[in-house]
Amino acid sequence: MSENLPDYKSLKRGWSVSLTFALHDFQSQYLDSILGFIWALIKPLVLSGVYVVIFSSVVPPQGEDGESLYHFGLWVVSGMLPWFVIQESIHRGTFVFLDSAHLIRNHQVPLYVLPLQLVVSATISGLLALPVFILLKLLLGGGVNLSYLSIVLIIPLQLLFCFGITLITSSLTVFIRDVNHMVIALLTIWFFASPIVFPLEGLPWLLQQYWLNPMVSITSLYRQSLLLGCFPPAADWFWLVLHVSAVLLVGSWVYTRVQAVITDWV
Amino acid sequence: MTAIQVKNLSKAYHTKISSRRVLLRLLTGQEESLQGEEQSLALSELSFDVPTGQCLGIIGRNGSGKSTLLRILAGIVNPTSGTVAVNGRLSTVLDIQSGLNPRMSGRQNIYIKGALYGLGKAEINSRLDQIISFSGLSEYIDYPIHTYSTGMIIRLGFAIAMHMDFDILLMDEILSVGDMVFQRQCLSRIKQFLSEGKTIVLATHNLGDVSALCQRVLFLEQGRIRHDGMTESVLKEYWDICEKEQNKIPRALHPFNPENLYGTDTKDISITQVSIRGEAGAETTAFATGDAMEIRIGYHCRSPVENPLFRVQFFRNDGLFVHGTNTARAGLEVGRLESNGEVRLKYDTIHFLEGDYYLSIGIWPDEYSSTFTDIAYDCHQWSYVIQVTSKREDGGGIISNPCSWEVVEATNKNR
Repeated sequence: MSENLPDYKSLKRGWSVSLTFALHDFQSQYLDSILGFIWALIKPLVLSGVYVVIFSSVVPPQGEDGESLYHFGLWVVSGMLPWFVIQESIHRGTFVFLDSAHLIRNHQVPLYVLPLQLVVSATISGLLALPVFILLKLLLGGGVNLSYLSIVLIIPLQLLFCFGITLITSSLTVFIRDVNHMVIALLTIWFFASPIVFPLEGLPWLLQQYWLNPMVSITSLYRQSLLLGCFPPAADWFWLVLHVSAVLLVGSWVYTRVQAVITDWV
Repeated sequence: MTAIQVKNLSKAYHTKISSRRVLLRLLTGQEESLQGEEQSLALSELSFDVPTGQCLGIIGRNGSGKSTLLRILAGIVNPTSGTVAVNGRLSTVLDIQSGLNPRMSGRQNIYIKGALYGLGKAEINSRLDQIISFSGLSEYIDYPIHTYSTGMIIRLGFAIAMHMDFDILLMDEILSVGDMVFQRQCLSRIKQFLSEGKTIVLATHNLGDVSALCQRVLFLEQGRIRHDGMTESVLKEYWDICEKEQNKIPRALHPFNPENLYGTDTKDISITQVSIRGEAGAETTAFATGDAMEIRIGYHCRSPVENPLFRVQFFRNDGLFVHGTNTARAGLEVGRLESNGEVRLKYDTIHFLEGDYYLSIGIWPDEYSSTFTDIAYDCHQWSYVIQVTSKREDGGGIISNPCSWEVVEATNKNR
């Protein structure tokens, strides 16, 4: 199957096409609205605000000096930041080949561009939520840390992770429509099985395991760097890179197996 | 130089096997076992070359495989077996509207569609003005395209497609869009491409476009090449076949069969029998160009009729009125008819070229009512057909005008 793998040049073209599409996709979500893309900032702001208010009474773990290490509402929001991107990517990406049937039957675009552009578009929304989060943190008395820079590494990894999963689900959905519904159900389960609203320690032992749930390392990376202000430990990076490689490997394997006939079945 | 080389190309679609089982076989690497499953062949064993700079037309009836072939050439659909070798940059115009975002402006859509064709922002910028002026949209270019008319969207789509970089252009049934002016603009653009030595493959139902642009035509029938040759000879065969197919359409469904149009038939005089006779006076419907023909129209009067008009008209199967004559125009005074009889129309030679011609035969009160009203005594509309065959020497078109050629060379050779 190696002859089906795209070379560097076509990958580069695929990436630039995805980027163009993603920007237009993002743009078109806020077309014709008076506030335009400011909504992309208001949405996370409202959501984060709600969480901060709801969880303001929850007492977070305290440091040795008796002061709270972080605001629990912010803790939840920092877990939500990656989750929204992952959820939106998978949610929209899974059905993308069937949705774009007309497009792929009439244009010579590499098929993987379609899930990729949705992932990129979701990532752009996710990036816009970051300054909102930092603003909230500053308002609640937090500081600016150098560890924020870790995000430069986290975002590409998270993008590749979403792309890998979407590649699998979108390829399978072409042949088995049930995958789409299954994915939506699984996303709900995954949300509550991940340390997003519940602290990691509150989850069953199995779900706490790094190797099983990629969300454990992703949320940890976000919280370490954005909330606690320290550079994430190597273990978090290690597990995320491992998971990213795994889903990318499986994704590209499934994709290369079926991509030749996707156009015949959409 | 060969621009496109196609060898033993086949495309099969699986009709019975479920998509789940296809997926399973693909994932377990058993693609070969799919060959044994029931499948319908969209294309079978096609082989042809397209030399660089040629304009190849692909014609065929619906479902003959034209679009599938173009999609395979474009690399969008993968062939089941066989190979396609393309030498040069390829651009495809299979569908004008797909990929356009209706809520975005025409200008933004140029970038979107351009990205689909593989062009970056800078490359689009350099040809933006050309595209906008070709589309003729002027200030509307900044309006969202859901406010456009269908024609405007098509003009935009076409303008974008016509300004991409390519050596080989594949087009599917898109020239016949837009108004006359825009069509002409597109045709001249395509001719310009051809003069620049670019290769064009054009699938269409519009035989006019084919004969205007293509040197060579591929006639597909049920996924096979029925004829591959010079435009004129292939078009003639295609036309014949379509005509034969059309003759199979039951008369009641025929688009040009307004038999009951003349509901106000007064029946004072009616047509009893019509016979069409050939050279030897025998009844026939088969003629050759240049033959003699006689049409005998039998009539029966229930009450005396003063100077009626007898009319014979010939139509091509697409409704084109080819020839007609009536007794009044011919200066024949029919007089008072009282009982039975026959009116005979004689042609010493007929000048129709090859094809089927439908006859309408009627009896009318006078020339005015035959031309402007539906009030006939009796009329058999499109009720008879003759088949004409002709020879190459008779010429092309629908009529043969006897003629001769002559070459007159200037005697002064020291020009």
